[in-house]
Amino acid sequence: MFVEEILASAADAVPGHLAQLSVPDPFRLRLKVLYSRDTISAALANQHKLGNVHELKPHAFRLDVSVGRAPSRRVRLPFAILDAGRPNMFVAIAVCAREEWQALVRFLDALYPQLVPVYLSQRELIGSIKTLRHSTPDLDLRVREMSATEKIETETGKRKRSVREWTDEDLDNLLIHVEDRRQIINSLRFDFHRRINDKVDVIPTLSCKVTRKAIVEISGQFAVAWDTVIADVVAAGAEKLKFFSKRGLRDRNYAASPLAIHFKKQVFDDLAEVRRFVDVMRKYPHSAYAVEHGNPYAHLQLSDRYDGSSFELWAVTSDEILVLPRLRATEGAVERLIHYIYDEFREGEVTDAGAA
Amino acid sequence: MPELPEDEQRRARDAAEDYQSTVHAMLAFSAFVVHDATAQRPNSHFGFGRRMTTSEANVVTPSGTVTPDIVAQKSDSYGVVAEVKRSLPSDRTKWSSHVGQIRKYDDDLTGWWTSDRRMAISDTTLLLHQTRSRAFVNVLDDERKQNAEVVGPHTSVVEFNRSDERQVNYFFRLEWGDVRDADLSGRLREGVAVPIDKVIRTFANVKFYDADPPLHSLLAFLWIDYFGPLVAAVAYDENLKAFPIDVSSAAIADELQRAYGSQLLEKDERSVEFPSAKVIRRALDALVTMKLAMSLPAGTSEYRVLYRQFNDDVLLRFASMLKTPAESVTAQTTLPFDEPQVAVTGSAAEIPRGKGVSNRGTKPAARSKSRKKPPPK
Repeated sequence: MFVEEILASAADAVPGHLAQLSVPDPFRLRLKVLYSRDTISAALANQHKLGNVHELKPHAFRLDVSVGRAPSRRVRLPFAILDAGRPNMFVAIAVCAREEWQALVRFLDALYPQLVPVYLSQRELIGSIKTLRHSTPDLDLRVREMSATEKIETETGKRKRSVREWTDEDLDNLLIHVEDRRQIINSLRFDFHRRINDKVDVIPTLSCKVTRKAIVEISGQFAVAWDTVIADVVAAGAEKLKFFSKRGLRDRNYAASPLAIHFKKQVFDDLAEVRRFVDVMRKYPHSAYAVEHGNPYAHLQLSDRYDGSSFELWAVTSDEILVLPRLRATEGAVERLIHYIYDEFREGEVTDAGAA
Repeated sequence: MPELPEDEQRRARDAAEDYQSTVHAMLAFSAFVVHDATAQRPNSHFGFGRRMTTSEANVVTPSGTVTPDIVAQKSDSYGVVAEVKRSLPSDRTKWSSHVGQIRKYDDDLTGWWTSDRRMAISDTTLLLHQTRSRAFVNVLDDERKQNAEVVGPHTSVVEFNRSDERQVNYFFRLEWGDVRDADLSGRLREGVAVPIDKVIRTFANVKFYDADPPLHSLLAFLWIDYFGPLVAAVAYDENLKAFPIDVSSAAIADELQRAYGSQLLEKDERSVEFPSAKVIRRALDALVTMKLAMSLPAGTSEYRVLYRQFNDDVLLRFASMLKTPAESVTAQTTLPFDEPQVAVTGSAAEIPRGKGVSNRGTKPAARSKSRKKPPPK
């Protein structure tokens, strides 16, 4: 396969080859930002032993995987994982249809804690797109599609509803709209149009979709995407993982380094929210947990079974969750925990929570 | 494991929470003494369970050693010695022992952080939970009527509680007697509220004091925080149906003291060590009884912990197991943790687990809380 040849070429030549590749529908050039303390070969070593991944080059692989349901089909999907230019940051790349890509993403997610999936909060997603807009003054950025979730009142209580909207809005207008409707953005698709003076090309140079899972889909000029969109998402991920690193007590000579998730609203004024928070955390996948207090404030401890990281959580003020990393707390485990809370409970802003 | 009845679940949680609340109350009161509104006062110090030497004139223990819960030095000329009682026995005749205990602290104690280890002015305070403070004061007054010397001249009673309002606070108020520091006295008379989040932020790690924690609480702590990270370094043992982790009580105690206990506070020849190796040994012995550990005959490690993954609340599980007779535990241990696990060798990467990928059949799998296995979030 030609794509496999491209991905298996020298690592530094891959972006150049992809820049010249024309990708027909329904295929897309798809990328996912990842974090790893290890080399990619080491991170995938166990999978090599299992035989479902073949290493073509230290950065290029082929995944044997079943996709689809009734009937499923076996596919051999070539992919590459390239150094993203920041310490421990990588980008997985494949040229494939949606179904194959989803199988690859599941495979990559399952490599945690060796490979840590990077997630973007709404704030980070919007922040990286705003950075992108400022760093590309010769391109006009138009939002084409947005998927989000919003809360709705039903007869049986509050529910979440997924919304998908097609638009032709300026980013700022869209953000006002999102704020008004209290929506949480899951993904944004936007087009870049070349601009010369005040004239804008009607044909987009590049069309990109960026999701909270730090996945980028590209139609158009890969080189522009690599230098702008991917670079910004990588930077956002790198900054966050660095912020989350060395939080475990053993890494800090037993000096505490607590975090706080701050909410704009007085969430815990409502006792039902305290109970909901405890219920959500009891369901944290692959964890051991102990609830010490659940009403009127929350106090629990839990561990991440994948890598043995452990945390203590307190909700003792109305607008904040305190996260106390324990003896071991890897940056990957902090990232996983924070984004579980964002996804399943409520999105907030993480800050250092040193002595008040 | 049989699920605990609801009232026993509540008691198990309350016991764990009471211990943590006592630690927080001690930290909050110590902070009240040694901090002003913005920073730690000059020459101020505090310690938990510090060994203090009584004077020859001490009416209870002359020239002896006492270990008050709190020794808090506000400056090099004033300090407070305090004993904390979150609960008291329902039999009030037993309260006299607490009166006697604080009597021996009301003395010219030696062991302060001053050049001669003595303090010009010091007071003795009994910190009592609000639910018992009035009743205790009545008993105190009755005893004083019979013998005026039963209470020292510089002793006070401060009630405390945790107010679970919008902002959770520890609240302290002078209930009986006085303290001789005008600043502290004035504030204690009006009542002092210390927000719990400030205590947690400032002393995030302090989890223990010089009293032993409830056993089920300590076991849950060890299981989640100490043994959990060690699992990555060992291979799953198919015969034992567990991850065997070799440990020594001394090493565990040392690390817990550094991370969560005595070594986070000031350390000198008078400070005590907590949690002690003795209580850790007691916890490990309890695991042996539960068939979750075995004693080792010789070598640096005294115990082999048989780590298994529990899918329910670890605190309640240990509370239940401690309650369950050993024979029943023996019979049950193979059942509740019996997850379909596959032998692994090597690193953390190989901890049995399941993921929602199509290559599921080719890798080790363990049952998660939910049978549906979402990718890590």
